[in-house]
Amino acid sequence: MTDQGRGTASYRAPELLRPPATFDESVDIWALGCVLFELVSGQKAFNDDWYVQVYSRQDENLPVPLEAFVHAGARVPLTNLVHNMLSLVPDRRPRARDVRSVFDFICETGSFEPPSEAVGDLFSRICKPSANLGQVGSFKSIVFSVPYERNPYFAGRDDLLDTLFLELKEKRPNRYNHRIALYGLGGVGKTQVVLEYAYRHQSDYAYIFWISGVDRAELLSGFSRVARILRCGMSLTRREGIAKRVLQWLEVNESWLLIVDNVDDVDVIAGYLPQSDGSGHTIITTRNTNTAGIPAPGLEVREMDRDSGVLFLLQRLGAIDPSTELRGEVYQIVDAMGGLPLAIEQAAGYIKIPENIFTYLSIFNKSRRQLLGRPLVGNHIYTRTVLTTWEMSFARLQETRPDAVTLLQYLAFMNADEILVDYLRAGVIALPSALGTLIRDPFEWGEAINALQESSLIRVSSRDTKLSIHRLLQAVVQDGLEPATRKAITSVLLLMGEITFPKLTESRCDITICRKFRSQIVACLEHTKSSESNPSWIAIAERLAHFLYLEGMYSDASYWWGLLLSIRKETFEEEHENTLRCKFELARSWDGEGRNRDASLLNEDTLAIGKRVLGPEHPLTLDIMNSLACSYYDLGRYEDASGLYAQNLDLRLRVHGREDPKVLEAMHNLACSYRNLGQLQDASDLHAETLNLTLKVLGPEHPHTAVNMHNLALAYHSLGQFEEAAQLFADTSNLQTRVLGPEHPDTLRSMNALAVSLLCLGRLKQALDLHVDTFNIQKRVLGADHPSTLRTLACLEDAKVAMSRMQKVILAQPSDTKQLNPRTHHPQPLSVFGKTLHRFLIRSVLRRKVA
Amino acid sequence: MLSENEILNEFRAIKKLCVDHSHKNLVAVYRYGKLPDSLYYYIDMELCELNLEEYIHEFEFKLSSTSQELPSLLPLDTKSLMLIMRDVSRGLAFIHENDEVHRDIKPRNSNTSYSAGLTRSLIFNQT
Repeated sequence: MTDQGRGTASYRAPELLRPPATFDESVDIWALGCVLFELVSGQKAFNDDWYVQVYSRQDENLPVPLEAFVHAGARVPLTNLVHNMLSLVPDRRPRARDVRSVFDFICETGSFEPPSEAVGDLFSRICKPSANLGQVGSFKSIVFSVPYERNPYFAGRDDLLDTLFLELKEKRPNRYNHRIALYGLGGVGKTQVVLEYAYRHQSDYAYIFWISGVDRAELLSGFSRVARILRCGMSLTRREGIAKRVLQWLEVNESWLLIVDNVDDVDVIAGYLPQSDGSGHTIITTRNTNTAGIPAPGLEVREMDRDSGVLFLLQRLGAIDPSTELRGEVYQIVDAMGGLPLAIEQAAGYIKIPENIFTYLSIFNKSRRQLLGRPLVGNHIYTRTVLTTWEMSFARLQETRPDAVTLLQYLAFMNADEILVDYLRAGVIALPSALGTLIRDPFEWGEAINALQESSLIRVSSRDTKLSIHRLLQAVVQDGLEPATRKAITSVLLLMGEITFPKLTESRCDITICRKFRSQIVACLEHTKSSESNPSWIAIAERLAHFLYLEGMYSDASYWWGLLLSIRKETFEEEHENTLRCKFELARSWDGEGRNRDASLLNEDTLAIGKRVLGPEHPLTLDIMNSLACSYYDLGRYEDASGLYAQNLDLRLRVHGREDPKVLEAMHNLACSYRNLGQLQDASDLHAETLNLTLKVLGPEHPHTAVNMHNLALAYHSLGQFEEAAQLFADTSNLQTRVLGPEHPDTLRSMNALAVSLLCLGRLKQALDLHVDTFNIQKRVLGADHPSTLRTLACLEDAKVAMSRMQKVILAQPSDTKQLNPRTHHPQPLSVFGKTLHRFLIRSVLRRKVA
Repeated sequence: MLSENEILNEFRAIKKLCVDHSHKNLVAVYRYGKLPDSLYYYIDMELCELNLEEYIHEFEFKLSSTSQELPSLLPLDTKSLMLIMRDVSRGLAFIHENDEVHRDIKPRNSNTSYSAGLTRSLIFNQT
């Protein structure tokens, strides 16, 4: 039969909507289903615009959950009947005579319970849940037995929820299908994710059940509750039997979702998980990463990403249109909580209104433990606090693997994001013997790591390379330690730092180790800051700061030197040699950072003290003098610089002898100041001499050699020998990339200088590209207002001007020449232009101080 | 649009099912045809007091104004719902048993004759 456009829109079966609309008497059943729905609920099952709903799939749900309107006894059969009558598949709708029989029976007996065999069969046939999983037009669950309300503040996690749905639906060989274990650290939001999943996917399941899996008793009473809802196993008295009956029911029925929350002890659910081969799904939440024991494929719930966390906290605080200031503070709090939703929730519970937010972090830093252990007030899904949930994990671990707990205590003082196993191994001698044995023994190590990982306390990217740990967890572990234990661990870790992190010598042979362990050492120092007057702490911090300076990380270096200086000032006299050394190093780092004026003032001060206290020929005094000259030089005070350099060179020659690196440094510096005073030939000769000596003393692969090459090249450039300069600059930047790395400030300076030389050679495009690259890296590494960055920007502007002039010259050609064959006529205008450009460039570049 | 023949065929089907209370849950149809010299068709059928749409959606209104006139319909409880559904599904089952498809089941087309205490399905679509 074909339809000729009859029937009212709201009651039309979906097959009538899609041409060619073929149908049979089942369209009447659809319509009757709509009538039944409307009779029961007083509302239409579908609106008149339901075409739009079906086609756009925007609203798969009926306007109201039907079961709300039906009295308890009729709820299950009646809602099932409606769902079946409104099946999208016409063949699945019941026949009219069967519907009639059911209603005849109900009206005769006044009961919804099928007593006799024949009617019972009919009943169960047409009143069983429909298998509409995932289809358009399916409805809210018939049974939605979830004990918690939807969390209105839920934010983010869309990817995880989608993955969860797909994973549950998918069927793959060699694994447990339609069953997923969500695992992750306590407080990371596993329960919230499942809760949101249940609410989002109400339309995909006919039955949704929520059972707590904390222990066997909870699990069994959960199954009993399900049994009461399903009216099965009512005659049984033993709860185990009832649970088994529920499992049987689940196995023969379709379209259900069973959630077992908080299964930390795998044994609790052993034998109590239903099998499913299709539309019945099970989700388990657990802190145990070893989900194979459940058994179920695992899916990790991680911390919230920064933006979701911020959104979550803002929503929780009811800050609809937050100011930039407030938003910044929220970012900081989310970072401090490490994106852990429960911790953010607790923070929100404490802060309450946005106005209170600005004091929170300082309170938190002072009373971390109290705040993390502060229970949430009000009717809340989660009764545990971050503190209690983790302390439960520790207690459990203490019973099974006490050595893992000890290990965790040490990990609590390390680099949260990345703990290198190599670092632990390198410093193993420093550790207590039991822990040392644990780390050395591959089997025991693997077991301990597994134990920690299984309670989701750490995350392991690979057992033998990297571990990570949540920073809030670190805080909780640290705070839970006895002061004595804490002190012992601190001193062990400092010793470990001393062993693993070498002091960089002139030969720089340890640079790779330093680079590898840098972040470990920074974390070690940060975590042990309370004992910062400890000599080991100071020694490590000095090594680190020195290394950072050599790596060109000037702002980091000056942070550490500043810190060290304040510690030194407390322990030593203002004029002690160590204090002076700190000041000298700090000034040097400031110079690198571009804070030349501060540096010169500090150096002047230090030099005066040094001369008086240490004597004018003390190596440190000479270093300070050199450093002061450098500050002057960077400030453009070349006369002052040159005088000091010359004086410094004399003194150093006398103290160190001719072939000492320090002397070479002084010679080189003097040459630089000659160049800037316009004594180009002297400069170039002295540079060449210094370079030769440096090659002899330090070898070709040394940063000092590179600096010499750079400055010799500058001298060539100033003499107008652009070819030679460009060649030497290129060699220099290659050498520096090799030795210092591609993003070291010195490397960038050479690249910039190379670009200037290229510009002067007329290779505009190349020069411009190089400038742009350099500028971008400098902006990132040094900051946008660092002098080097600004210099590069000025050069970049020059190059742009040059480019635009070239274009103007080309555009200014008479129009007829433009139409000539470009290949034959290209050389002529360009060469004419080239000369003009060259003259312009030399003038503009020489006007500007190069590098 | 339906042609004249098609319309009369429909009527014939309706008449076959409904004439003279052949089923108590279908509205009785007495006569049908085309009005002479016009474009209108007519059907002559049983008068029903209330259709289900009114029953569902205007119930509250009626309750306040003329509640004493509708004693048998009060209250809108499960039992009366089941009775209505029984009647409508009986009518529909009869139609299907006669190899016809109603194609326009909706509350407006289900009429209640409360004098008889029965709900009857109307087999006609007022186009």
